[in-house]
Formats: sequence, structure tokens, C-alpha cells
Amino acid sequence: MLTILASIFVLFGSFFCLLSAIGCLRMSDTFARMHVATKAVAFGGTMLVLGNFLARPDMASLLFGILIIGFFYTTLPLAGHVLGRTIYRSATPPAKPFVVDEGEPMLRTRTTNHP
Amino acid sequence: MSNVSSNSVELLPAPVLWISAIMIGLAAACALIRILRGPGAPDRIVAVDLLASLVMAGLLISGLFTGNPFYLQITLGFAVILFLGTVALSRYLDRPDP
Repeated sequence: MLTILASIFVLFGSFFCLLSAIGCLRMSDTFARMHVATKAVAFGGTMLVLGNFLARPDMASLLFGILIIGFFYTTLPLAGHVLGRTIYRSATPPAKPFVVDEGEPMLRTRTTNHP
Repeated sequence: MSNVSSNSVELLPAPVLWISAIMIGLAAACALIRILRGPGAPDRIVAVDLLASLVMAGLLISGLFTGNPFYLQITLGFAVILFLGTVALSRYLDRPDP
């Protein structure tokens, strides 16, 4: 029973990683590619870690699984945030014009030493 | 390859692990195509970030293949330093013009 559950988790996680990569290949916009590459992989990796824990339910798997998921969810959105700011500042044109664009003062002060 | 799967303890049924490994491989191929084809440097950084995350997924599946709990520790170490490369490359592109 636990093996079946772990198999479902592992298959779902790797399928989600594949979906994320297909999205990164097929999306029309750098912002959309950044979004799908940094958020979806965190979910797929979490599913893989959970499947890993269910396949071998012991203390080490639990501890390392919690740590891995914690680092996933703290570092991947951070990398996504920095990537999004870089994409915005490098003036990559979006596929459609922005509805709300509040970052223009930030672009105008680009040559200063920003934090 | 047959040597690895013959004298090791697989934690899950072998077809499940093979299907997962093939899906991760296809995902890595998609990321590599995006690296080759990306119109600019930000696209390539996004694809490199995705590829590093896929390497971590592959490490987890390798741990399931061999049944070696050491792979979890390798994955944890990789997860700690994973985002540093992305942040460094982004900040390098983002630096102010001289």
C-alpha cells in the first residue's frame, strides 16, 4: 500500500517536472518561462521528496526530506524574484503589453547603484 | 546500467522508476533546447535554473534506484547551493552600466 502511494507520488512529481520543462520550452514570454520554471519545479520536487519518504519511512528520510522541502520553498522563489527583476530591467519585451507597469521609476534609476 | 539494477535494492517497482527517469530526461532535453534557442541571456539563465532543479530531481530518483540513503544528503547539499548560481548570474546581468 505504501509502495503504491510512493509510486504515485514519484510519478506525479516527475510528470510535473516534465510539464514545467515543456512549459519552459513552449511559453511565449520570458516572464512566463521564468514563472513556470521556478514555481512548478518546486512542487514537482516536493512530490518527489514525499515519494522518497514514503518509499523508505525512517527518521533520516523524514529529517532530510523536511530540510530539502524547506530549502526548496525558501530558495526557489528567491531565485525567481531575482530573475524576474533582471528580466524586467533588461527590457525584454513581454508578449502582450503590461496592464499595470509600476516599475518605470526603477528603470529610470538604473544607472545608480541600486540595492 | 544492468549492473547497477542487478546488485542493488530498488525501493519502488522498476517500471515506475524507469518511467520517472525517462520523464526527467525528456524535461532536461527541453531545458537544453531552451538553452540553445533562448533569444537572450535571461532565457538562458531561466533554463539553466530549471536544469539545476531537474538535476536535483534526478538525484532523488537515483536514490530510489539504488536504495542508498546517502543520495538524500547529496540532494540537500545541492538544494542549499542551487540558487546561488542563479542569483549570481542574475546580478551579473543586472549590474549598473559603467
